[in-house]
Parts: sequence; structure tokens; C-alpha cells
Amino acid sequence: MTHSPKRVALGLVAATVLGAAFRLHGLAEQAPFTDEIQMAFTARAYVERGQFVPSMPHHPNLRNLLLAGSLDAFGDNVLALRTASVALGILTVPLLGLLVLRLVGSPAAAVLAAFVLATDPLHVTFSRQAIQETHAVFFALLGAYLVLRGCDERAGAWTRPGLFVTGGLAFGLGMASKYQVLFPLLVCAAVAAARAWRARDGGTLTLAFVTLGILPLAVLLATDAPWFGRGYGLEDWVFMRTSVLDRMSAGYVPAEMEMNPDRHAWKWFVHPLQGYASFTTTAGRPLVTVGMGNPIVWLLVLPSSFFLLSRPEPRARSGLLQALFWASYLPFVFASRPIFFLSALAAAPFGFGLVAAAAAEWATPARRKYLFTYGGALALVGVLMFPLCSGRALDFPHTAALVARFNPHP
Amino acid sequence: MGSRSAAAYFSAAVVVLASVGVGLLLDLYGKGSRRFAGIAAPVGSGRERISVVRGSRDLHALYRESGVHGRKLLHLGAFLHYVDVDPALVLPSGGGAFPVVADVLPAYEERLTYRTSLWVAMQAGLVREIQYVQPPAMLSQRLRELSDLDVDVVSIDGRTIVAHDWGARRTITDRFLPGLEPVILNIDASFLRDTTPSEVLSALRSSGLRADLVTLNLSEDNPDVSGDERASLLELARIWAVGSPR
Repeated sequence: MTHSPKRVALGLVAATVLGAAFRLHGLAEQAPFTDEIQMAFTARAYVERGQFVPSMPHHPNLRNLLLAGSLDAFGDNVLALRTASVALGILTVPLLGLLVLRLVGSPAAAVLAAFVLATDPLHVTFSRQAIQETHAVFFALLGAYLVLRGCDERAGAWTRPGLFVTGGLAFGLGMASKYQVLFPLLVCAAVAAARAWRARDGGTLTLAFVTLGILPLAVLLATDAPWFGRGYGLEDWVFMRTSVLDRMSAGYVPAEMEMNPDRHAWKWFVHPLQGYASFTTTAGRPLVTVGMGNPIVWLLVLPSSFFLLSRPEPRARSGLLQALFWASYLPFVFASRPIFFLSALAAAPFGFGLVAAAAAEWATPARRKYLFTYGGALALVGVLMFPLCSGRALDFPHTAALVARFNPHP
Repeated sequence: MGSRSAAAYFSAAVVVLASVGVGLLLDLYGKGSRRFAGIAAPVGSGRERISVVRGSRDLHALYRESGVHGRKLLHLGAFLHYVDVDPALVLPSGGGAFPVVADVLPAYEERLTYRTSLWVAMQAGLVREIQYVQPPAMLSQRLRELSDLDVDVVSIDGRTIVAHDWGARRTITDRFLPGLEPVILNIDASFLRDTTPSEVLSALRSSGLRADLVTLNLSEDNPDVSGDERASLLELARIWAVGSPR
């Protein structure tokens, strides 16, 4: 069955609207968490004085710049606090669809991947909080999309430099959000270099090295401009970035994360109902969100990967998507320090692409109706798990039961 | 060379130039942000701007008034004065009405004590790097207690500890390290614990260092500093030829 571009676009728009609904519903009424408040003050301290304490100083500083910008633009309120997260979270939905379409060439997989992300409780939870998780995901996917489009031999010569440059900028903004964006960047750089080498195209090879090696570093450097205002030079910047990275790698655990029980990445896609909880109280009542994966998706990620690997044609078509997923996932599996569940967003979108690609591969014409059934199930589970994302988990018996294991004072 | 390759090479060159430009501009911007209290003079020469202060708050106020920013501080003393202010004490918690997001520095400065003074100075941007020179006995104790597994320690090389506070370098040693950049020098009364004023002045004169601001801190707010140590510091001030305490 062929799908017209118009039908694919409609599908992506529908997924985006659904994703926006999950991310915006009740957002203004959801009271801010303590770490969100601290991030607002950290953002102010960063632009005023180049200080990136007290909140999450182990991460790079794009979050601080975006937060300070939206607070300046829209005032000191909870919606301004969450503007960047929610906007980038919503935009990631169609972006994932476009990336999957480019990687596997299946319109059905593209639209399904977008629907999966639109309703994914973990991504919804952190789109609704002022935290850098959705920033990193958005810029990683954008960088991958632009660079892989730039590598497309079918593209005209004039498009390639622009795509590599904008892709490098996107990856730089991703690295300036969380260092984990390095892993998909390396995959895309390897692909670009390999294709340029095969084509004996020295210009493109040079461009790939520069835009995916030097440019992201320059972007990271630029986002540290307020820090330079403290009197530092370039040699100090090298010391700062390496010592902060060492500190993070040595097992730095911010106080607000210490109570979370799920700390092993190997469990992400095999153990149902892993999660990351945030707590506060509002009007005398506890407010809890738990970022959790949708089990009917997350438990299918690894089987989907293996299913696609087992069949020659799908294996060839989904190779890049596999590389992006495993390159983003395995470093966390083998990390020697605690890895909290919110970091799963580094790999999950690529995993969603694998699930969608496998579903589209499995869905012969006779089985196609099951794709719609699966889409309906996604939406239903998303709705049932929505209280976990919006802080109302304790108001519903089924989500209160899920939250119980995250209670730091059982 | 085809037009495609030419466009790619040209784009690569532009990106490299722009990236290098960003780095150079930021380096210039950062170093240009440093502010000095005056003309630097060789340490111990008597030509430096020298002040005696009673305690941590006076020290901080003097740094503020002198207009220093982004400086390397050379601190001679037995203590580090680098305890951070708990953010839970100064920031609102979540769950309630959204607060006005103002700069938190005034709240830190309200909580400035002898324990937090240099951390607050770092937060205020007065200093960007601290070099501690400690009495040898104190440094030996610190080396025994530390390990290079301490997450803030970058390296331990003989009798020099290089640590950091989220990228802000802090060096702890018992000798003067060479350097071309003028420092702001603070001598805490606790430094005179195991040495004499003339030994300190002699060591400073031999160090080759230059300073634009020198402070002698009597540390009257620090209960771990003795009257004898303060008396020794005043003697140091006398032989260094300064006026009465601030």
C-alpha cells in the first residue's frame, strides 16, 4: 500500500496534536517542583553571574539560557518556566516521524513512531517539567535528521553544506543540553564520513569532520559565554569541562535524585514499570509525578530490534536506526555509576522507531487493521497513565498503586 | 575540483574560521572581564595597597568596594573558608505559588561567615580561582584525610592538591606557586600559627609574586583563631608598614 505525502503529513499532524494535548493539558495548574524552582534561580544566576549552581551543575548550560530567556520574555510564572521543555517536546513528535520516514522509508512506521512518542508517559512527564531531557532529545533527532539528509546521494549538491552545518549546530545545541547527544552524533559522523569516502568526495569528508567535530564544540563553548564573564580564558574552559565531566562520571547524584530506586539501564526495556519520581507538596497534599515507560511499547523495543535484524530486507533498511538506538543505549548499560530512568530518553525515541518499523514490517495487508488497534491501545494506556505525568497520580487507584514503590518513606 | 567539492571546502573553511573566532572572542571577553584594584606591585615591597580587616564580612566588603572581579586569590591561612550555603535555606521550595526569580547572591551574602566567606566570594564573581597556602602541619593533615577518589580532587602531586568547585580551580599547597598574573593576597591570622611575621614577609618577598590588593584578616569572627595569632598578624602589618585596623 502506498501512502501519499499528504496522508503522511496528516498522520504526523494528528500525532502532534495528540502530543500537544498530553503535554499541555493542565500544565498551568501543575505546581512547580522544588528542582524546577531551583533551576529558575540557577538560570538567573547563570546569565547574571556565570554561576551554574545549585541545580544540576553537571549538565551543560543551554537549559539555563533557554530558561532565563523564557522567564525574561514571559514573566516569572510556571508556564514560562516550562516553555522550552513543552515546545521542544511537542516538536519532537513530528520530528521523530520524519526521521523514521527517512531512515526506514515506511510512512506507516513514521506515523506510528510519532504516535508512540506523542503518548509516551516518560516523554510527556518531562515535557511538562523545566528540565533538559526533552531539549537533548529534540536536538539529537534534529541533528540526525539534517545530517542524514545531507548524506543522501539523491540530494542536490547545493543542499549538502547547509544541511551539514545546521545538523552540526543542532548536535551542538544537543551537546549543550546533555553530553549523551555525543553518541548519535558519532553514528551520524561515521555514516557521513563513510559515504564521502566511498564517493571519493574529499570536500564532503572535510565538511563532515568540521561540522560534526569542531562546530558542536564551538556551540558548546558559545553557550558557556556567561561563565567566561567570571574572568576565565580558554585554558580554564578546558579544565572546567573536563573536571565537571569527571565529577559526573564519578557518580555525582544530585540530592533530588537520591530517593529514586531505578538505577540500572539494562532494565529499561526488559523490566516493566521502571520510573523516575519527583515529589513536592501543594496545598498540604503530596504532588508526585512518575516518568514511566508505556509497557506495551517499551517491552517491544528489544524484540523489535531482533525481529528487524532477523530478516534481510528490513535489516538493511533499518540498519541506521538500529545503530542510533544501540549507540545511544549501550553506553548507559555499561556505565559504572547509577543511571536514573529519565536518562532512558536518550535511547527511547530510536527504540520507538524500531517498534514502529517492526510493526509496519509485520503488518501485511491482512494484518493492517491491528496497527490501528495498537494505536488505539497506545492512546488508551497513555490516558490511563496520564495522572503519573501530571502530578495527580495519587488521585486515582490504579496510578496510586504504581507510585507506591517510589515512596521514599514507605 | 567539482563545484560540489568546492562548496564543501568553502563551507568547512567558514565553519572553522567561525569556530576559532568564537573561541578567541570568548577568551578575550573572559580575560577582559577581570578587574583590578590598582597597579600591581611585588608582594612584600610595601608598595601594594594593603588593608587590615577585622573579619570575613569586612574582607568581603573591601573586595566589593575595591571593584575586583574574576581574580586569582592567594589565601594564606589554616582554613579553607569554603563551605557552601545550602540552597534549601535561601531558595523557595516547590508546590506553592511561583516566586519572583531574583538573583540569589544577596541571600548568600547575608549568610556570609568565616566558614562560607571564600565560597561567597566565588559566587559573587570577585574571585575565579583560589590558591591556598597552608601551614605545613595543616596541609599534612589534609593530605592524610584526602584521597584522589575524592570527587572534587583533580590531582594530588606531592604536597599540592588540585581540586575544583564545579570547574573553579582550587589549589592547596604549602608553598608559593609561580605565576605571572597579579593576585589579590589575603593573609589570615591563622597562618601565623607556626611561623613568625618576619619569616612570612621574607617568604613573600622571595616569591616573585605581584599583587594589587593585600588584606590582613584578623579573623575576629573565627573562634579557632587565637589572640596570639592576631597579635602576630598585627606585627606583620607593622613591619610591612600599614595603618590601623579597618
